[in-house]
Parts: sequence; C-alpha cells; structure tokens
Amino acid sequence: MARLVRLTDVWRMLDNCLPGYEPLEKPHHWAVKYRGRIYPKLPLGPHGPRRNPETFAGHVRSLVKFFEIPSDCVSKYVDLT
Amino acid sequence: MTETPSPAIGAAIPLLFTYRDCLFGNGFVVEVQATNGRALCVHESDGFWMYGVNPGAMAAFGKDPTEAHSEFRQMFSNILKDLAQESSGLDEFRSRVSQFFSDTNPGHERDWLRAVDAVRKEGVTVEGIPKAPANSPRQIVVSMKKIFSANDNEASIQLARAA
Repeated sequence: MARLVRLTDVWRMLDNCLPGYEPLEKPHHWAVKYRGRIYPKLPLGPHGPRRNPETFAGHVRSLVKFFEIPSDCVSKYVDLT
Repeated sequence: MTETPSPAIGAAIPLLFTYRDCLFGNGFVVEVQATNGRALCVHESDGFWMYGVNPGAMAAFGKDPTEAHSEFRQMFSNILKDLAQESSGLDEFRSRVSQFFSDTNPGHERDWLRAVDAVRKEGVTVEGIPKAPANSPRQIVVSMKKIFSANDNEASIQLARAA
C-alpha cells in the first residue's frame, strides 16, 4: 500500500512554500496550477473525499520536484521520506 | 518489467517509453503517439514509484516495477482523456497535449541523469527491458484519425532502459 499523507498538510505546505498556487478540484482528484504550469492529477486516497482526505506521498514528491519547491520548506509541513 | 535481484531501496531505473493512444474528443478522433518519454522507476520505502520526467507532472505506484509501469501507462491515458474532455477542439487538445508532454520535471530530470550515469558505469541490467540511448529523440504527435481498424484497440507499449 502506498504511503498516504493528509491533504490538509499538503495545502498548508503549498500555502507556505509555493505562495500563489491554485488548487483545482476535479471529480475524483485535485490538480495544482502555478504560474501557468499544471500538475493535473493529485489522486485522493482510498477513502476518497471524506472528511480529512488523504493523498499519496509519491504524488506529492513528484509535485514538489515538478515545481522545484525547496525541500527544507516542504519538510516543515509534510513528511515525504 | 522484472529485475533480478530486487533493487535496494533508493535504487532508480531510468526509462524511455513509447505509447500510442486512440481517443475521442469533442468533435474529433485522434491518435496520440508519444515517443521516448522519460520516466524514473524508484524503489521507495512503500514500494515502487514511477515518476515522469517528460511528461513531468505525473507519477504512479506499484508493489513491483511491472505494476508501477502498468499504473503509469494507465495514468498517462487517463490524463490524455481528461485533456480531450477539457478541450473544445482539436487545436486546443493538440496544444494542451504538447504542453503536458514537454513540461519537464526538473527535480526528477536530475535524478534521471544520475541514474543514467549509474547504468553506464555499473552496467545495471533489467530483465526483459532492452537498452536505448538516453538521448533518443523525444516527440509527441497528435494526428486526426480518419481510417480505423481493429488494431487500434491494441495497447501499444514499448519500454527501454536509458543508457
């Protein structure tokens, strides 16, 4: 089973480490837009859009590297190791 | 895709993939041929993750490299379908697909290049995966589909280890 992280932690990390980003809600996933670039699929965890939903650590790692978010900032809000 | 022996956690395999998809959009039917896309399969602590380099904004998980690649292939098709859904016509779809495919993941690109160096120096082999030059030309072509055949139903997948 792929490791999960809380979506609220991901948004808090992006609020602080990627200011100006735009979360885009889709029917079964989220997308993240920043300066004209889009990370199109941040899937929800196995429990879907319940209260306190989750996503997968690997997708967040990919998103972090796609937008070149500093790892020392990311690690303050979400554990991706 | 299998590897013998199973790679240690942190091990990374640089890959080149070629996929063909046929899909319906709003007022068009197209074939999308992605050639020599770049991806990195990494053994993480929770399993195997396949990270896109080009396209850079996607990833997929599997309990082994084969499953990770299968999920990656499916994710690629699903993103194309989403782009078709969101595009009002062929020109917009073509532009969105081109942007998606060419948008490099800079962090994973650095890791991919390091992994290519490691493959060259250490002669890493992956069972069932042929070797291809790391600098193989990359492109994506979106063409209007006018002639159809049963072969269009077949998934087209080629995978190579970049070296």
